[in-house]
Order: sequence, then C-alpha cells, then structure tokens
Amino acid sequence: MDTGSTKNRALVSKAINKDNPVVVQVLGICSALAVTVKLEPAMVMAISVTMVIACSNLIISALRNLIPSSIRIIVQLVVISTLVILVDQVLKAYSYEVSKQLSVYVGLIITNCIVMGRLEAFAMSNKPLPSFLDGIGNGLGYAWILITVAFFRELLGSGSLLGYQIVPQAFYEAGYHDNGLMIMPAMALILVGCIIWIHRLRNPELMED
Amino acid sequence: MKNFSNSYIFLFSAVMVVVVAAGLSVTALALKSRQEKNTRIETKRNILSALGISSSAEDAENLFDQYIRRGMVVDASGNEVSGKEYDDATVASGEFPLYEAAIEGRPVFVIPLNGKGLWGKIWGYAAISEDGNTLYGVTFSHAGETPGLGAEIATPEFQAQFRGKKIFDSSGAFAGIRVLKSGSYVPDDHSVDAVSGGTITSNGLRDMVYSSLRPYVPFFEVIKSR
Repeated sequence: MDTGSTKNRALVSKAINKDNPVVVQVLGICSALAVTVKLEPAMVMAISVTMVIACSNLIISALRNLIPSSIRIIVQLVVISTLVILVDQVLKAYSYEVSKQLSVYVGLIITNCIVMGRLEAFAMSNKPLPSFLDGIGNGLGYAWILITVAFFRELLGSGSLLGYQIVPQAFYEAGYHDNGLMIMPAMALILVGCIIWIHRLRNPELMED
Repeated sequence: MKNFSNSYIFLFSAVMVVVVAAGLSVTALALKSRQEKNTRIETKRNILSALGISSSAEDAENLFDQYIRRGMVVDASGNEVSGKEYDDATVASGEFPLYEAAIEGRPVFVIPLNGKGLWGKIWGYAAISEDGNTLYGVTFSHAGETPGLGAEIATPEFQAQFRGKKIFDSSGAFAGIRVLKSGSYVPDDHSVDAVSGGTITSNGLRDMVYSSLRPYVPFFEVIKSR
C-alpha cells in the first residue's frame, strides 16, 4: 500500500516537473499562446483542461478492456469531445464573461495533444485511479506553465493582474509604458522558451546534446 | 488486447453514441434557460454601452427598462411600421428594427450593426442622436478577432472615438464613418483612427457601419425634419 501511494504521488509530481507536458514533451503549446494574455481566462482554461484530461483518462481507463482496439481512437475522441462540450456548456451558463474571452479555445481543448497523448500512452494500459492521477498531474503541469506565462504577460503587457491595476498610475505619469509586445502571441512563445531554459538549468539530465 | 467480433464493435459504437447523445441533450436542456438569460443580458449591456451607460450583469435589465423607451420597426421609406416590436418574428425584409432610448429626456436611436472582421463575425450597436446625423455612441463586439490587434475594436478607448462623429458628409450625403490608418488620419467629424495592425478588421468595421446604417437613412431624414 505504501509503495502504491508513493507511486501515485510520483505520477502527479513527475508530470508537473520532470515529465511536464508543455516544457518537456512540448505538447499543448498552441493554447498556451492563445489564452495567456490575461490571467483569468488562463486559469479557467487550466482548470478546464485539467478536468477534461483527468475525467477522460478515468473513463477510458475504466472502459479500456471493453474498447475494441480497432476503433479506440474514435472512442477516445468521442469521450474527449463530450467532456469538452460539457465544459463549454457549463461555462456559457455559469461564467459567461470568461467563456466569451476563451471563445473558440474551449472547443479546441479537443485538439490539445496532451489529452489524447495521455489517453493513448497511459489510460489505455493502466488502472482507473493511476490514470485519473496521471490526468490531474498532466493537467497541473499544463496549468502552472499557462498561469506563469499569463502572470507575466498581463503584468507587463497590461499592468494589471486578474483585471486589477497593479502598476500605479504614478509610474505611467513618470513615463512608464506597458509593453505592447507582451500582448502578442510571439511573446508567449518566448516566455515558454525562458521557462524551458530555467527548467533545464535546474534539471541538467533533461538537456539534449 | 482481445480480438473483438465485428458485431461487438457495432454494438459498442451504437451504445456509446446513444449514451453520449442522451447525456449531452440532457445537459443542454438543463442549462438552456441560464444560457439564454446570459445572452439576453449581454445584448442589453451592449445596447446600454452604445448609450454610454456602463452596467453589470446584475443591473443591466433594470437599467435597460429605465433608459429604453420602446423597440420599433421602420420601413424602407423611413416610416414607422405600427404595432411591431424590435424582436417580432413578423419583421419582414425591407423592414428595420431599432430601439428608441431617452437620455435626459432627449430621444436617442439605437441601431444594430452586423458585419465581418478578419476571422469571423463582428457586431455592435450605434446610437444616433435626435438630429439623425451625430453618433451618440457605439459599441462593438467580435467573435474571434486577433487579441491586441483586431480585438481592440471592443475596447472603450477605440469606441470613444466615434462619439460626436457625423454620418452624413458636409454636402448632406450619407457617408458612414471612415476608419483611417494613423498615417493618413486627420481628425475630423467623419473619421476615426484605425486599430494599428488590424487593417482588415478596421475595414470590416467601416463597411459594417456603412451597410448597417444605410437602410435607416430615410428614417434619419424623417427625424431630421421633425
């Protein structure tokens, strides 16, 4: 039991750090660029993706011995799209402002490589509980990158956090300008690059030759 | 992994589809009224924002009832079609809906705008003062214009530029509003400064304002002569 729980904990921590879906596996970059201009949509996106990965991992893993392998990709896609539509509907009903900001990107969770990647690589061959935890771990791994990027982009690009003004008015009067470049998608890529750089420095074993 | 027979695969797919379809339908039905309420409030907030009134999701419906006097429909020659409301299903082609608002006792007319930007739909409302010429205010929304570029049309700073602009040129012909790039922009009564880097969205916006207001020109002539 003890080794089991250590293993389960490792599933989560590995995905957050050494096997991070974004900075190590380089998956899910597309949405990391698109929804990180402001912190709030990034957080909602992070929660939504985590929910979708964890739940689809759980469902697929529970059904893994019943799913005919010849149609397994279709089944995975159906499960993912169903969950994504549910998330989209719930956001439209309970968090309309955010769902407007995320617009098409909620639907595009379906195409987030992390989700299908984890289903194929993990859930199809593991028990439900570890699969669920693997989903949570990968979701959180994606989430912290997204939130870190959004934090810097909103702070430096708009001078605010979660919509609240952080940079004082006096700074602007003294000639400070928000960095317009931060709002552009290219800056998200550069920030992700910086995160990868620091992450590799701290984990030299991940460096490629 | 086991080998499954074809009939099992068909059965599995059929059951999966039915379960998923049922689940999604139930959710959609359960959330429908909330979602429709959100869309309704959103529309009212947009209309209020064209009138320069800021509202929240909570007070939008009250403020709307307070400022909007009535919804009406005009025909192609600018006369009001009696007995028709803004949202009536009976609004035919060649008939155009608008709202009449009252700001400090003066009438202001709110007209819906529809057009397309770079990636998709753009829409909004234009509020026209009682002279049938001056823009009292505007609001624009978009489905998915580029953040930081085309999406800037939805910011209050961009929209504030339209306030007080005239839609008829000095000779009295309908001209809409010109959206000019910074280089060629000279501040006058008929043009606004375009979003830099958002040329296609800006052009789409100009076309939207022109083509959406165009059918109301006879109506503007009618209120002008009042």
